[in-house]
Amino acid sequence: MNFKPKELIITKLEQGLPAITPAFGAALAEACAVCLNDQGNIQGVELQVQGDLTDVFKIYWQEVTDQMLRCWNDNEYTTEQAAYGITLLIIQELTEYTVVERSRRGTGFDYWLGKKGDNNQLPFQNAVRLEVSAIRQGDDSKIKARAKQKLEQVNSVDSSLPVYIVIVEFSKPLCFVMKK
Amino acid sequence: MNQIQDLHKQAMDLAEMAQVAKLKGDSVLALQLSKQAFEKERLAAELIVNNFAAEPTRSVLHRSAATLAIDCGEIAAAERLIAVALSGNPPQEIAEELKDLFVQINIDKYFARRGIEFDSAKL
Repeated sequence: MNFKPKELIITKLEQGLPAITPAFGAALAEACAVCLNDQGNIQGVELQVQGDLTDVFKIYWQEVTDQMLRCWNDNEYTTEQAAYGITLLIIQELTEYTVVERSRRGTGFDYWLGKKGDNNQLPFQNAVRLEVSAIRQGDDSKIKARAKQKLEQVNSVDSSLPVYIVIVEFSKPLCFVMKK
Repeated sequence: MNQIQDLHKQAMDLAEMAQVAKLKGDSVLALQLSKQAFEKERLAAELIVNNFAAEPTRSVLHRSAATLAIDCGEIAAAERLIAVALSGNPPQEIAEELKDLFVQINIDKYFARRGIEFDSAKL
């Protein structure tokens, strides 16, 4: 059997998405490259997708330059942006959704997802929210703790709006997805 | 694209341009663009104000307009928009965000009236 593993080409973010301009997508791709390199990953490393979505991708990213390292010197911010990059690609690949808008909530940076090709007359109708959490380096227990914390946060509200919660870890690349 | 979608999209584009102007240090242009974004989003919200069944659109547009109002210093307008949004049927999580926004713009004044110094950075 000729099994070809799925590939996730991070630089595809440079093409943009409905709510991601090519320039911003390129920035997210840079953040991903910096995080993946920083954790000693090599090109083609496997990214495990676990939880309510499951899959495995071999991931590829651009070369990291000194200028990129100086640009992305804030670890927390870089990890957060990189997690958005990975998440938006995974959502695009594995679901019927795509990112349609950055939320204009007073705090936080979650996104609205909409069905690909959907042409609703009103914005936000049938939309799904996306909450992303980033961990540069953490073991299973840290990922589980973060997932539990996010679940409690979501469950504390009797929500009528569906939400995808995604936790991305970069040392043994993992994308843990929950849909509520 | 209908009028609400069109106004909302224009508002978001102007808000992005305002962010870019702010990053470039042009605070005058940033404020100008923020005001334009706020006006567009307020108009979009007004078009749906009587449609209480159109959730979450109604509450999200009002919350978005309120956030943009805060960006350009129109605090009284933001309070009205939050109140209008809450007077409808917002999903609970949007309602919580609207209440948080109301607290955010009033907490300093609340403590000041009671003579308490409050460091909002510690929130």
